[in-house]
Amino acid sequence: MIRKTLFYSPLLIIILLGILFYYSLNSETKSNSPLIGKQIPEFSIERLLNDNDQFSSKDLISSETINFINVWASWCIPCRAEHNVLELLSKIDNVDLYGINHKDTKKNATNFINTLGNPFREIGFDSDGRTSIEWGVFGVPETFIVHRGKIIYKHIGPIHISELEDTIIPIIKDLN
Amino acid sequence: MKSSQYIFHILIAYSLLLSSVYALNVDQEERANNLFKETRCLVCEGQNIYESNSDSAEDMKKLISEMIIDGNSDNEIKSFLVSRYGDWIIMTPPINQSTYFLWFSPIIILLIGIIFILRKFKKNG
Repeated sequence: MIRKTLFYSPLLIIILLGILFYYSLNSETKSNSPLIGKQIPEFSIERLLNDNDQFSSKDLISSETINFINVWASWCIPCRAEHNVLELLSKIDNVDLYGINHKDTKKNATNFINTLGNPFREIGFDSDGRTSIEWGVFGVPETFIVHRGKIIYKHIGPIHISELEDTIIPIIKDLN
Repeated sequence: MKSSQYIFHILIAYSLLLSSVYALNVDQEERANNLFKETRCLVCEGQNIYESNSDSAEDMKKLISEMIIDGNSDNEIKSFLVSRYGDWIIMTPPINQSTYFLWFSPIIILLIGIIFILRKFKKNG
């Protein structure tokens, strides 16, 4: 009996190690951003629809409402699909939706907004993608919830209506 | 002009063009390449940005090169990337509490194996 256990023990150890490594590999995923719980990164970029001044981190830090920062691009198909949900989100009380337009042209981005509507309070024009790197963005769309200048939550990919109801709205209720 | 000479001139022109984009000296270029090899590509799973030509990898290379020109050390650049993307962004996992097992388990397993073999030899001998 002991011999048999000894004989099979290497196999058992390998299986256990396999499971352990599998879980360790998956614990470092893209969605647990190191920025959550931290102050928003400093940035200052030109506005998409207004040439006057810059859209900057100061706009978000001074805000008393719950801020959503959506990183999007006109060439991004999932962003189109998400647009209706963003319209709904922007109508919620005490919520301000801001956009960071990622690696786009002014013409295409403006066309996108003119065709589909503008749910954003302000849109920053991040033509070289540098501000997106500051925010730790992997790709578009991504959405951050910011309250009093602090990052509360990050959503990767388009927000589906069910995610708005099940995840996002409870967070808004909590913050209120 | 011989074709080999022609290719040589094209290569020189190309390398001049590349170096003028980032304006790195030889030393800085070596540092940049090492950092590119250590930085994980955001959109291509399992590849570093040195090997990737994706748009996102090119942006990251540009950022790292600019940070080198601005006088940041390799560690400062890496900690900036980690502060934005987590340990995930560095190809080699750092040695810390959550990775002790990953780093040291092979050594432990090797030792157990050696003990097993030695005991077997003793028995047979």
